Amino acid sequence: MKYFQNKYDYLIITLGIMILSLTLFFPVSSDMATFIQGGMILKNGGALYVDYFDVKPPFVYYFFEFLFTMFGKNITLYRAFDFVYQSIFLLSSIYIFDKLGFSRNATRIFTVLMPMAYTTLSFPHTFQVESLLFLPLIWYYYLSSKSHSSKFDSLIKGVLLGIAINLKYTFGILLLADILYLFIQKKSIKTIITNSLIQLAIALSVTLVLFSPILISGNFHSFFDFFNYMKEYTNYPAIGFGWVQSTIGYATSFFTGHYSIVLLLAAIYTIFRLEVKDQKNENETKTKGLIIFLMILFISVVIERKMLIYHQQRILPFLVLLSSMGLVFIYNEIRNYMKSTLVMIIIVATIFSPIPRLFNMLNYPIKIMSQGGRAFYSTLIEGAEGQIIKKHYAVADYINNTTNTDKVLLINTGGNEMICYFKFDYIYSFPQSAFYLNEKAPEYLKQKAFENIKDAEIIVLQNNDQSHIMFFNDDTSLSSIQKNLVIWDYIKTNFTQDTIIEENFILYKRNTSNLDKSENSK
Amino acid sequence: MILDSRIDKSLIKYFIVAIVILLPTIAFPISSDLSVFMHGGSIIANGGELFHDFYDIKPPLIYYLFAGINSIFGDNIVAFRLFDFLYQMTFLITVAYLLTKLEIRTKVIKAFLIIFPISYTILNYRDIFQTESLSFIPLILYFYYMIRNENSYKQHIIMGLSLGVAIAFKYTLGIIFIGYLVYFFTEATNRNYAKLALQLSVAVLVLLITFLPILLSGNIGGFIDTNIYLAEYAKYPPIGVELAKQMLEILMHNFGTLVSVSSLFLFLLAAVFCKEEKYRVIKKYLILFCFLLFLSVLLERKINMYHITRLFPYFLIVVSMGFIYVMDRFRFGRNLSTLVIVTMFVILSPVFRFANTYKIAYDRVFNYESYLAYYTNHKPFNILGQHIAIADYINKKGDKKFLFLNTGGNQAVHYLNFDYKYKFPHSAFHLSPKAPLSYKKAFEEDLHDANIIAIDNSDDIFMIFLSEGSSYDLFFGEKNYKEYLDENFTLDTILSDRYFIYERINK
Repeated sequence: MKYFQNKYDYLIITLGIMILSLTLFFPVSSDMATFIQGGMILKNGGALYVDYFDVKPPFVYYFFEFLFTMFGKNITLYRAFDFVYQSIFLLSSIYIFDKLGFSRNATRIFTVLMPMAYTTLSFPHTFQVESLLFLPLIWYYYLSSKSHSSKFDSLIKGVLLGIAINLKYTFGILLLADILYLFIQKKSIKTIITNSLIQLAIALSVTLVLFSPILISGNFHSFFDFFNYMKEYTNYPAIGFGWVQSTIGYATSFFTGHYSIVLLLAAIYTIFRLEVKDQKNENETKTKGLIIFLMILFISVVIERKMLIYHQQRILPFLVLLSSMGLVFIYNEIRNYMKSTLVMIIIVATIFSPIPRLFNMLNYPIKIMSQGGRAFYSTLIEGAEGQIIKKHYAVADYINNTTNTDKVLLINTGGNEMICYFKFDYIYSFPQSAFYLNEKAPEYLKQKAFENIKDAEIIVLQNNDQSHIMFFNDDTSLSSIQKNLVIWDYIKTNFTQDTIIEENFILYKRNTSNLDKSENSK
Repeated sequence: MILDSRIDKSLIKYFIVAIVILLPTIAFPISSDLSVFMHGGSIIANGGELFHDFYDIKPPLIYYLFAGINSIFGDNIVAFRLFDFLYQMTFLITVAYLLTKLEIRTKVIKAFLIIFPISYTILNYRDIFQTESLSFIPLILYFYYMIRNENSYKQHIIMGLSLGVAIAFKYTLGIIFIGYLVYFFTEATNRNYAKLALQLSVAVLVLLITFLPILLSGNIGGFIDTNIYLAEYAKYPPIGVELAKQMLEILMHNFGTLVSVSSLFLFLLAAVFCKEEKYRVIKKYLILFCFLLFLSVLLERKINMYHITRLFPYFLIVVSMGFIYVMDRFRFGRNLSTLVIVTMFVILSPVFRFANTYKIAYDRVFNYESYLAYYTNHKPFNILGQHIAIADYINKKGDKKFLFLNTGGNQAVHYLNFDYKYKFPHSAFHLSPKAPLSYKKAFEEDLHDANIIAIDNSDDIFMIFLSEGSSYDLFFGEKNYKEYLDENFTLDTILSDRYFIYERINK
């Protein structure tokens, strides 16, 4: 392997891993809490789509059940897992790019840039199904790039495709990227069809295996019902001029703000260079492969219609390599410039790169080390997400200190981080209240939610969690539940408002007399 | 270096396209800064004196220029926009002429004639007519004469004039002189320090001339007080991590979205990969000037969208070179790169924003309600409809002694049926705890004279007030003002939930 023949390569990989290690200090994010909740319910004997409902494929929750078994609610351990996972991805990438003959300097830059791009997207955007895709994705690309691929390679690709689909259904679009890439490699139609059919068959088999717990438990119809209901969410936001405008806006913000202008320009140059007259391009086909995978994955984000930052990060492995190659080309052009000119270029390039944000990220370990563990949950994170975590921590803190029941029901949408701070395991079925509170919610979900409410002794109800994309209107959990007269009447009759924490979380405690009644009836 | 100074006739149709592109700017509404300049111009045109009858923090030249326009057209926004349109067309003709003289390829000039108007128009639909954009002609003249390097007195006098005018529009534009010093010490074959001194002297002289009316009228005290306030104003936001974060965020937006990735990419191509030897020096100094002006934006610490337009005369020439590089060197066709590059140019370019300029112009003429609605919403400074409503209300009363206390844009005063006569475009200048005593006294004269007062209770802009609170909060925080108002005025009405209208009890 060429990469590790130079002592500087070890320094570079160390730097990359050090940058990645900043993620160890990230707190829990809303999606991570949702995954952990799923894993927790399954670990405690619950069944998917009966005792727990969420939108991702079942594999994600079984995977988190496994993680929960090992890590419990210790967020640092989850972050450590992600750190190790991303490190393995980084090493795999180095190996693959080396094997595929990409420029060693580009690989070196990738080794630092990829961790930088991943880390500086900020904590809610790391450790998502998109980032779990990185590893199968890069190996999939490698196998697609092999000039002499065997049927065994197609078989492995099928397994990787199956894993990708079971992380997120839309990742199945990778097969299309593979087909286009094979076309570019001028593979015969017969080879492409055979390869695709093998992949598809294996991917479906993998999916079948990963769905087997649901099939065996006889809950497939529950999955199917919930899956059909979730289709409602795919209709939002509605397609139209407004959607086009916002999609462009979000994409521009991701590429120029989060990914950074300098890296984007470098990537565009690599693409541009492929068709510059009188220009020799090494690895032209493989570079085109990178572009195809990038474009197809980006199209999958657009198809999903939710241009969230972490949705877009699925393109990072390819985008970062294209940027790294572009930076090498640019460096080769400017390295003989006068020092003063280089200083000027470095100043401007640094301003428009992720480096300032990376330095800002150093706040995380510094604050944790100087302020202790509490900083992890409260003062650590600035901005809206940090404020949300702070509030969730305050609610959990109150409940942990004033009650000794585990029958605490959280009714909110947009993030259930507090369940990771409870001293007990959370037992209820919904990570998002909108699933049963919105107008289009099916009756059986409303019934399930009502069962949760009837079982709960404490209810935490949020009053500012408006999310049009989830509720399909401008209601909050509080205003939605107030519209459901049966449930609201039940809460008013059987619960008393205890307190309001951080202005947004209203705590209701079951009336003692009701408790007695229910105990007597038992 | 000069071979043929005639502008290529084939450029005429590009000028026509440029006219078509720039035309919608005439329909753009009044912006907060434009409103302030027009206010100053109106006061001076009606016989008032700067720093006595009108106070603002910009150098004097802009107000005299606006006074001149006001004298001809009156307080008419369309006339001011028309002036800007003509100015930018003059700038385009100047650039085409000068670039031709510098033997820049006609293709590059053609590209500039399209790229500049688009970039200028879409940057911000409202805030484009600024001191920065008025500096375009002196900035390009300065650059041209530097590159031409005749080492004559004429060259240095013109450079001095250009530099002086640029500084007279905005002090920090003087940073281009550093660019010339770099040229002087690295490129100039015959260094003549006397001529350099002459250039600088002419620039100082021009600046002094723009201050002459103030010096002669004895209002220098007001100017000094203004600068004391300006010094306080310049301290905000304070230097630190927060400022750095804020600035980076705004820069990313301004360059990534408004200037656009496409332009930046073309700039990169021209700057790094375009290797035509005859452009080497020109390109090098265009980039250096861009860098210096970019630094000046950072130094000012207030990165509004329009602040970055100062780079345009240089930046967009380099972008145009990049565009021609693409046209010459890129193999357009049915290939993957073309698909990506074209898609990127469409999506990450100003095309969609540009299309919207025509909608604004159309609405201005045929659908005024939609036009007003576009500029009246929850976004900061989108308050046009509210200001027109205030003006309508005051016009109905028919009393010309109307005093408007708000900060961040006093557009209402230009919709009045009469010339607004009071001294401050921003109430922050006299209500801020850091306001000079002379400002407070000047305001009290206005207060005692006015019969109707409108006070804004939602204009809390820390950056201008240099403290927390709105005009309403700070006005009523002053015991004397509160008592005076209580004794002599009565609350008439509240408009748009934020403008408190008071009327004098015994006029």
